[in-house]
Amino acid sequence: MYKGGYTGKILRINLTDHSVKEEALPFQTAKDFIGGAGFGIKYLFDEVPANSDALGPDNKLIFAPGPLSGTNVPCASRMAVTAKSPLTGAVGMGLSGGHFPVELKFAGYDALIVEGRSKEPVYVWIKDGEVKFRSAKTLWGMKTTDTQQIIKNELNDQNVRIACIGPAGENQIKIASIINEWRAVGRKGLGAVMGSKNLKAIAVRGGEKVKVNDKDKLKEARKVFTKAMKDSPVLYPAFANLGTPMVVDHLCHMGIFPTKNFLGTGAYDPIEQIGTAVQATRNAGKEHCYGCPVGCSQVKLAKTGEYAGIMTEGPEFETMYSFGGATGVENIDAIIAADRLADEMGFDTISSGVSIAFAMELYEKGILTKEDTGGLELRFGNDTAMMAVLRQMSYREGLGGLLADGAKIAAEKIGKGSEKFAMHVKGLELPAYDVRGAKSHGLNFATSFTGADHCRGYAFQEIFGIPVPKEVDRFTAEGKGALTKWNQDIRTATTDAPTMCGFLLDMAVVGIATRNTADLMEAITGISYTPDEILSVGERINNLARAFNVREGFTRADDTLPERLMTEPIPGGVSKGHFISREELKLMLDEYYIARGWDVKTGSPTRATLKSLNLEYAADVLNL
Amino acid sequence: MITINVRTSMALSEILGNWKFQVSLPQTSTFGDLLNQLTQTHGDELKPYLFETDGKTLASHIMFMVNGRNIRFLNKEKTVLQDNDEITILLPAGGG
Ligand code: SF4
Repeated sequence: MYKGGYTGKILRINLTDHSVKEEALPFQTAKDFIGGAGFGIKYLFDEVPANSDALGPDNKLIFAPGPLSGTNVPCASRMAVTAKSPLTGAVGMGLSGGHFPVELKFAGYDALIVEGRSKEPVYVWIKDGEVKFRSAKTLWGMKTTDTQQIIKNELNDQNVRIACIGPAGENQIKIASIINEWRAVGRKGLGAVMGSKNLKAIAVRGGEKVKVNDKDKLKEARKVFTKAMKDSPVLYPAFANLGTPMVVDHLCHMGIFPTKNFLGTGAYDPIEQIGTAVQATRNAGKEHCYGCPVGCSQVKLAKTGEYAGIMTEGPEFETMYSFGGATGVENIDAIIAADRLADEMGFDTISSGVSIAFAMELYEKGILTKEDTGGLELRFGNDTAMMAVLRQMSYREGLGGLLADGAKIAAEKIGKGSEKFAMHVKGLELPAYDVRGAKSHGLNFATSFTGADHCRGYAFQEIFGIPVPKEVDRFTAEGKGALTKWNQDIRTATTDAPTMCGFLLDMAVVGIATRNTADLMEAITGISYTPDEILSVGERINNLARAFNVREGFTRADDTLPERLMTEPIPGGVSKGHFISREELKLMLDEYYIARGWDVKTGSPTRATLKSLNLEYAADVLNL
Repeated sequence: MITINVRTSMALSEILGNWKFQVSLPQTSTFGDLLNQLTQTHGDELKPYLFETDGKTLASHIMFMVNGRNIRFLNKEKTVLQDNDEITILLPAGGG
């Protein structure tokens, strides 16, 4: 039935009874949702019952590469992993690159759905259509690098690709990640979902090539894509040589690199401590995801003090912020060590760093004392204290135990007015943008279906000045509703569903993205779309994700920002004085819901909008 | 005379000798006057970065900001500078 791109098969694994089922991928699902995040959200909405316990057997984990994954399209290296998030209670969806995602495709599957809960720790071994459950008793407690190596040894194949959890996922800490190679599905606690299922790892090996419908058409579409990459003013050499950490300097220059739990933005600006020049002194090589000519992943080696000799792939820009800017830690080697520790234990670098920064502010304010910290002097900038708390986190020990489920839950436990200082949306800690100086990006954090997530509707117009679809003033609120919708839809449609590396969108192909995605889809799968239909796929996925959240009880009231961003202006630097007032947020939200065709009062999709997107069944589920 | 503070990134910092420096300009100088002064001092090396190939139009992928605001939302090159203004000129970056 499928001419290319899709294998046409979904693999369903039930951990409760260790059963395995292969199903056909329905054509309408492929056409309407493309793949990746689209498949994840479709299966999540359709199959996970309302109000399920995210850490219970009813939750499902959906691993889905896309139809472009594993072809020769550059950077089509990704998969989406989707489940109900234990951290937010909303959709938990994140993407990872590396090599595991395409290997799943080579093994014959468009998606892998993991259900139930195993009695004993297991790992799943998938090889060319054969699935085996193997005991993970001896792997339980192991760090992620060791886990991957031991499984490779056990299977006697060093080319097996593995996605696994570390101790953090096993202990179901709500900011636990899934690690494949050295890459992560970092956010929203998907590692805890895996841990709750007693699933230590998934090992995959496949030899099936991805079929292509029309090789000549693919050659043409690929040419357009690679030309856009070559013409990019930033991809080569800057991004290829410096990777994401280059953005530390950029955001410092713009006065929106958040520091000291957003108390110090602009006023305290660590460009000379952790910026590009210092980072370069720690470079030890680089890594490429499957089929990527860029290779933005920088491997870094710590050089001084107790951290000397620690190596990590990263830290990426976000981690420079969470373990650097947010905590005020200026020791680059400590940031490298923290990144490695988080990857090894298997937790999200952003949420863990921001949760520690939150605790640092509480300590500085006297809300937490030495008694609470176990004697640690938990002040901003204290790298030794940061590392100590990080070590505690994965085992839920000491203060680390209090912070292990993120800043929102910690604040609820601590009380004493600490909620005001917890920087999160819907429970997901803020990533590295002080959106008081980038208001569409702020609206995106407020409305993204995963919480404060820079990977959903990245406002590159504001952050990098890219004038597509138009130039925007980052300090104004007017007009940001429609822009945010567009940013969310184009990202979902052209990167998260097909699945492509998101960096290429804003750095190279945004001007041609919908046309080019349509051409690539036609060439590879034989399924025709107009550019507008591609964008509609993004809209459909965003609507169904929103419908999931509405069913879980989320309303307009949850589309908000931390109080600090709405009441305290940025204290220094070139964005000084700016903030998103409650009135501005209200205006942007109204604009956004209108642009989306949603109910302005409740923030829920309407029946008419869902129907127009071929999602009327979701309106029935929601009783609209 | 007025004094303005300039911040730049990457290759621009190398050409200009620092990523952060001050420039003195006559009262009522514009953003265009600042660019003229910089290109006079730093010669032809700087020009290809700041302008399109016609040598006049500001390069579309560079961020030119006065006090954090893109000059496209001020008076573009004609934006009049004030004493102590913060100027930011950024080469394209990417990857969040
Ligand atoms: S640009 Fe970076 S993240 Fe994207 S595919 Fe290439 S190496 Fe991976």
